[in-house]
Amino acid sequence: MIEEELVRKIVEVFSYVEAKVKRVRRVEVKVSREKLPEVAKYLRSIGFKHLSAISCVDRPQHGIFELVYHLWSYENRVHLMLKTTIPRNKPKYVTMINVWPNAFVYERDIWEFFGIEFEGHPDLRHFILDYWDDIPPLRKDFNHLEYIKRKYGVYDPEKEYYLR
Amino acid sequence: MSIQEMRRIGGEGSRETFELIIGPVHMETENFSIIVTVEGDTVVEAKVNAGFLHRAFEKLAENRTYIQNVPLLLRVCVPDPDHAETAYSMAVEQLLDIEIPDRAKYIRTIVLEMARISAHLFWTFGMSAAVGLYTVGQWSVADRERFIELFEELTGARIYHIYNFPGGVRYDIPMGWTDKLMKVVNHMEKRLKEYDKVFFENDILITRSRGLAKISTEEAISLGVTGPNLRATGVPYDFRKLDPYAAYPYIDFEIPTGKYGDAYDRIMVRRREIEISLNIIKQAIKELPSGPIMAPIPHPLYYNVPPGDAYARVESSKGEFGFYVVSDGSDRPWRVHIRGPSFIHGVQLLEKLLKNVRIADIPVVLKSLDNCPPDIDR
Repeated sequence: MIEEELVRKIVEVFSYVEAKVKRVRRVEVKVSREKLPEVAKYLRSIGFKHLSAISCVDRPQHGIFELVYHLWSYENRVHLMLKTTIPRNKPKYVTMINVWPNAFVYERDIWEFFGIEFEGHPDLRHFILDYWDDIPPLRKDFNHLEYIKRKYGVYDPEKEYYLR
Repeated sequence: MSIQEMRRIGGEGSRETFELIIGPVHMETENFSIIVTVEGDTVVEAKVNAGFLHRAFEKLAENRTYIQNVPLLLRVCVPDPDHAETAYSMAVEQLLDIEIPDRAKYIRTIVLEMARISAHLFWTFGMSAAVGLYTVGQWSVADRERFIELFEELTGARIYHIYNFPGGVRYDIPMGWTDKLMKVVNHMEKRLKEYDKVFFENDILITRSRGLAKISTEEAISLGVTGPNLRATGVPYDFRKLDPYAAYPYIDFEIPTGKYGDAYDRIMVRRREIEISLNIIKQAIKELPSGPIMAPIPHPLYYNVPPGDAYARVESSKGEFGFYVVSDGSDRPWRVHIRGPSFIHGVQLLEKLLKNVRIADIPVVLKSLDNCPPDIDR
């Protein structure tokens, strides 16, 4: 099976990664944040050229943000999730634009919705939420219902208008 | 999202440069705007300005149950909702570890190919308007109506079907529906020849799009381009074959590719995809097995999904459409990330391809990419 071969190959090269086969054509690789750039460069060189997306998952109960790089190899037909964690109180990471150029848009998206700064990113500016004035909205501690009340007021059925 | 005024930037005489704002209310750009710096009538730089359609799907999905999310998340891409609902359903099926029945797989295939054809026919309208050949646009929208009527009979809705559910499909095929579908398929096959004469082999279209906005395979893959835009550069990369789902592994079909990666190749790849989708529908109807249409799924009130994460993707009419769903064991997803194809095509690729293009060709480039602004904003 190509997935198991791939896992064996990755673990041979990098002894410190945690790799496993999740299901058919799905492989998961966990790596610490310091070591991720070199693993990423290696994966790019063995055929993971297509970066599908970068997902960010907020886990306040563990005090971390989880970054998931979704990679696809057209030759091996395998989807690889490269996972790492960064501390919630120090949301900073390095950019991956030099490895996958389309990380540009996903990193800008994560900066906007989670507030993670990517060092070396040339253009971290608001893209979708211009004039945003609160904490990044996809963090778990952002309550959208309270934000609406604060921003637009509560509807008063007797007076028929919104009260601030 | 921000609204600005047009202003003069610099230069003198014939080398004067202006900042021109196209959109957000414009037929070609569909609710997002491009700020282009023009010198004469050549584009020097283009910046995409999105966010007018932001509906916060990812935040809303965290506060709804898995079943409530189906009618919400299919609204991501307006002209092509079936692929979104199928991708989300597939991600939830992976988390629940269920395999859908064979009949549901075939029905899904038929529905997805119908959705692809109707999305491409709608795109034909936009493309024809971009080059000024409005006749074929009127025809294709009328032909799309035939598919939408079939959708209405099968699912009860015209655009947002809410039909592919985690576990299978919601209703079985009604009596006589496949005969009606075959009639429409045969009609469409004849119709495509007329489209060719009027539009796809028209000299106006060829002269305006041949050699325009070229991109190589290497560049396209490194930018994350998928779908017809990638296949136009000459590689047969299609997730229906590479990462198979529904009944595609059992169906024999070819993948159309282009040669030069220019706007005309992108147009012709889509044109040939309509034909191939019609063939897939014919095969799927012929081989349609009998049996149940829904796998056993948890009770709606105790719909607890085991903790874990899953990524599922489909090949939508525009490219790779993926959902990354993270579960914490409760009845609501912890995180849903939507990977739409236009997030790449409509932002980074478009900004790159618009350089050195003349103003009159901007709509042609834009439409040849088949960009869907709602899935940039999500």
